[in-house]
Amino acid sequence: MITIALPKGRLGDKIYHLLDQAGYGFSAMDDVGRKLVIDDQEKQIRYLLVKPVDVAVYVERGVADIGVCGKDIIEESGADVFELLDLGFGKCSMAVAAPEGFQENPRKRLRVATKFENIARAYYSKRGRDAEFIHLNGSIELAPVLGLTDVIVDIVETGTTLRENHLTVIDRFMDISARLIVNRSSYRFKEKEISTLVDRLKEELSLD
Amino acid sequence: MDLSLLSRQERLEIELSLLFTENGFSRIKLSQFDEYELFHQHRAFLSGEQMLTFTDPRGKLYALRPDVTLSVLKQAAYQPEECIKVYYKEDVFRMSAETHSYEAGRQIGIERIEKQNPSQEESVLLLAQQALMLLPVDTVLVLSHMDFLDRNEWFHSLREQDQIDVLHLISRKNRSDLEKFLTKKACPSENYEELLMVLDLVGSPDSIEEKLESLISYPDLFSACLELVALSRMLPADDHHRIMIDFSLVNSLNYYNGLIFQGFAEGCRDYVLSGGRYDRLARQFMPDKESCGAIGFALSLDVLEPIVGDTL
Repeated sequence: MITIALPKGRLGDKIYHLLDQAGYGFSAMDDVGRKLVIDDQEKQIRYLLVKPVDVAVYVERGVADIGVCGKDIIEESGADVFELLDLGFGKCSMAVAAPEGFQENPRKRLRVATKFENIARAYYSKRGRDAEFIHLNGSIELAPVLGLTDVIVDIVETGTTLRENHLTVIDRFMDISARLIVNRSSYRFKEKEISTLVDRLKEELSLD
Repeated sequence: MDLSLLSRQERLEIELSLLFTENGFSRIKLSQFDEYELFHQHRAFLSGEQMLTFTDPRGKLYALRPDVTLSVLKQAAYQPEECIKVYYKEDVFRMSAETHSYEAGRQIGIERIEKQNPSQEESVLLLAQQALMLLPVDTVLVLSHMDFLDRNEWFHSLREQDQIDVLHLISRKNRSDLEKFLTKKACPSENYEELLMVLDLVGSPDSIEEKLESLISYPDLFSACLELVALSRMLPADDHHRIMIDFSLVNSLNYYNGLIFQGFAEGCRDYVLSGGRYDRLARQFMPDKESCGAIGFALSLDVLEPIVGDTL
């Protein structure tokens, strides 16, 4: 049996639709209610419906063999997994943004607001930049507007929220999209089933 | 003595000790801590492991051992024997990536250090497979080779951080980001094709042998595949203890060269055995022995806990 961790919500619905087209769906999916584990004995598949931020953890720890989540979740969690496929949807970027006209002072420690502390730390550490990180859970754009921080590191899609808060992108440094991830040990014991699923998904993606 | 009174983990430790002793490896006992300088000098070998340090009453800085190999090499450099074959059962102290706290993990492993003739891969690999076969579940031994990358001039022309990024993307089988990265770095087409081909070189020794013809234009990859297929033919294997070749298994070129391998056990979330040839690291400890070589592996008992972690 293959266990697949799917994120609940909009991205999850889209991924399930793709899996269904590839022959990995099941009729009971429309009637899941509040179930979090769904088994299909005939197809030998188990779906786990989990919070998007937890998908990588379930896969890395081997509770799920396969999972689908955004590149941001994988990088932030630091999960050591195989990234077998870029599904190409849910596209956006991780970026540094600051108030319009912001001039960075290299002699001062940079204050950074972010929900993605590990990604932000890695970004500034690579550049040798001394920075202080302030973890926020939402409305990150407010932090530089109210003087809490100098810049933010956050996901940018269209940039509308940034513009409305008079912020501008300084550096788009990571392309984000939905990725199919696989537990390293599961891959060794279920390679055939996993490769077949990946090939079927590739076929479906090329048809779109 | 009734061994059935022991826990599965204790029995496994005894079985592994017997296996190593019967094959000429003698037990080495190490202190739980060593001079901080030893680990600091080879920090890259430890993949940036955080260390638990303390100062002794005379002001000397020590660290609880995050790795066994460095301490073994330090001892080996002062031993007169030309061939050193040791096994160990030791705790290592590392920062857990999941809990962000220090944890002690138990490792059992062997090191074979040859000061003149470093070609003893088959015997060590055979022991690795025999060690996996002692486990009560299905296992897979994964083989890979670093020499093709070592001979890749374009790869060596990259700055260190870019090399780390390439290795990281290969190790994650992340084709889409590897393609983007190589394009961004203006990788020449021949190297581009070779590095992406690496991601397809995964499967049983038979399936890799079938792919050999398609590798004629890449002589370094071709000879690495040939070597791994030949090595795998010398190992015992069946449906429950398989051998797999997978070139996405990579490691730092600063220390490792040639063969590297990992062992997986069904029911364990990560590799349970890890090893390889580390001639470069050994030569750093024995600079006067230019032809010296070393190869070893270790099993992590904490990763094996789901299958041997019961009390009786």
